[in-house]
Amino acid sequence: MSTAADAPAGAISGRHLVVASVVLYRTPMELLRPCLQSLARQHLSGDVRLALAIMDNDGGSSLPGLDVLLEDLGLSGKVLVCLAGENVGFGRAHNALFKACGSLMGNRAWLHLCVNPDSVYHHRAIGAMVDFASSRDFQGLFEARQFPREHPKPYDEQDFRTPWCSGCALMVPSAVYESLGGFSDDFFMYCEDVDLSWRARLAGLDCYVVPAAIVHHDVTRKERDDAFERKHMLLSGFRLARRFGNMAFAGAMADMLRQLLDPEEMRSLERWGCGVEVLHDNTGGGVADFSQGFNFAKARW
Amino acid sequence: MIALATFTLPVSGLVSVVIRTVPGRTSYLDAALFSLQCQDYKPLEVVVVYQGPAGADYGGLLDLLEEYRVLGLDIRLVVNPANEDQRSRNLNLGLMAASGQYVAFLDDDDVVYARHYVNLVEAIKTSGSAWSYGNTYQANMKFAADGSLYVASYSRPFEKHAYSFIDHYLGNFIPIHSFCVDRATEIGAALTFDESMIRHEDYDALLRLSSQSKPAVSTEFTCEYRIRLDGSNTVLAGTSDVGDFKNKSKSWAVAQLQLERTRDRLDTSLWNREVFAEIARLRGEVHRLSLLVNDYGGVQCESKPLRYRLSDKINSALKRLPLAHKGMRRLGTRMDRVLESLRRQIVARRHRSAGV
Repeated sequence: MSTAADAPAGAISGRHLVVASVVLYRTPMELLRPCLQSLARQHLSGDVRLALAIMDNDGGSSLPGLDVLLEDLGLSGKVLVCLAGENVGFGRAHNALFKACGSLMGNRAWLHLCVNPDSVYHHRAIGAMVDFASSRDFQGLFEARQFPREHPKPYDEQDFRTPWCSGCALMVPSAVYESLGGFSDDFFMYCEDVDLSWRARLAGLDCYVVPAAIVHHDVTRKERDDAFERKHMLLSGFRLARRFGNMAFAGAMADMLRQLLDPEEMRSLERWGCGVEVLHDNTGGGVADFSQGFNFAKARW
Repeated sequence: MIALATFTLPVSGLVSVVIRTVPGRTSYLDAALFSLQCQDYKPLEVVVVYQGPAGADYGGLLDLLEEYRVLGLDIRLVVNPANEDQRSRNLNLGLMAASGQYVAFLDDDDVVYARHYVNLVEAIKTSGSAWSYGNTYQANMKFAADGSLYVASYSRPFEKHAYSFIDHYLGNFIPIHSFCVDRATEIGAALTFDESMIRHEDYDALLRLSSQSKPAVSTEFTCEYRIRLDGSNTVLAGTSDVGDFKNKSKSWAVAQLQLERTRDRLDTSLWNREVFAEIARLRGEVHRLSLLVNDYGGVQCESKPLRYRLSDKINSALKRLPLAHKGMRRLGTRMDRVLESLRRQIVARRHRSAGV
């Protein structure tokens, strides 16, 4: 399902257009409400316009409730794209949203903002991200600072460069998104943001944390399915390592996955591993860091 | 500014969070308010007690509060125009303005996690206690080039998963924003801060509170005590300027003396149970180990008098309660040494028996 054609023309006006892109999968509306409310109440300067792009990865099961919520928050007129389909994971869903937005934009540039549905944006966060990205000529990946518990990966306190950007609150200029080919289809969930960041750095771009943009993302309250998350974490770790030529890390992931996957799944994964295009040799082009486990950079604490 | 005159019954279920602030701290306060905006607990009201001149827009404070009101936070503002440091009075002003059954405090440069008040209220409800506390991270903050604060590291100096009167007597491990008081209880309703104190005012109040009611504990870490490593907090940590350090040290020393007076006046009948239990535990341990030593022979003649000597010391310490807590700690340390010595003797004797 797509409502792209219904998008109001005014939604894509403005000097800087930010498309807040949200991927849902059986997301409770009470969790989504604070997130969308925080988008609705952004303090934006006159030259920044905010639109929404939404993908329901559960075939549209959330859409009836979503319609009511959008109406209630006064956001119905800001929906540029609304898609529904099977659960293709995080990266592919964002790629689909980016493509659908692109079909509406023509030659117009925009800023694709990955919005986690359990995050809440400070009312000046998006404006701060646009200002920061603008000061870097929209060259790079731009991540909001997570709050209250910051992400442990480091960033430079002078120029705010960071080894990779988290996909939780990530702003990618459309030209950059396009030049990198978006998120890799190889990942279902986890590590697709690390992969995108390292490819950006290989292409000569930088990854940044925007310190003035804070986004509430309290991972301590998340209800976890540990077995599911562990499996997908290991799968993504394996795929990332193979793509960046780190056979030792991939081997460690494979050893653990053998305990979790049935033999056919494991053989399929290994076939994928043999056929995958290695993006860089085992040095990772100087950008990949597997020495710190799943932090993928030396943590601050 | 609001009038503080009549006392009304607290609103059932409402959490009131009192925040003290002074001029020039709106950037810190912004983060504190944002953390309140994202609380899972509802209903919640915020009482901001501003001490400073009420000129213009109070240095951006009014605008900031209005922004959060629009975002849905229920905020009251209390203004205290006094010039001198009235941090304890500011807390009392906040208490008077607060209308909630539950009251909590948040310094303007600290933050709480989304489940903080859900956990604290739940702990009170399930325990029947008049108050509760949760665990606190210390976040060590640095300034980045753009003036923003970021977390350089975390530590856990306040970690305490089970409340201990003795440990609390010896030092505060409950920062001001980590606890919540139920004012529907008689004990909670009586909560006030000693306005003569300009440091340790929260610890002083907590000692008095805990002498009447043992707190419930939420073991999860749900808030951050944010220390700026440039030394601009009131705590001594990070202070490199000699003059600042001396002034701060003096304030803390004065407060320490005031605390000693509070400790002297405390009704410690509740606490004594824990002290007795600890003594009984230590005595039992000494007895058990002494018997073990005796089993291996050799030190029997020395161990009996030692046990009697220890018993005498314990009994003498008991007679001096409630002032004996420090003495208890020293005694405990001494007993630990004795126990360690006994353990060493056992190990040595085992080795000898085994022909090592």
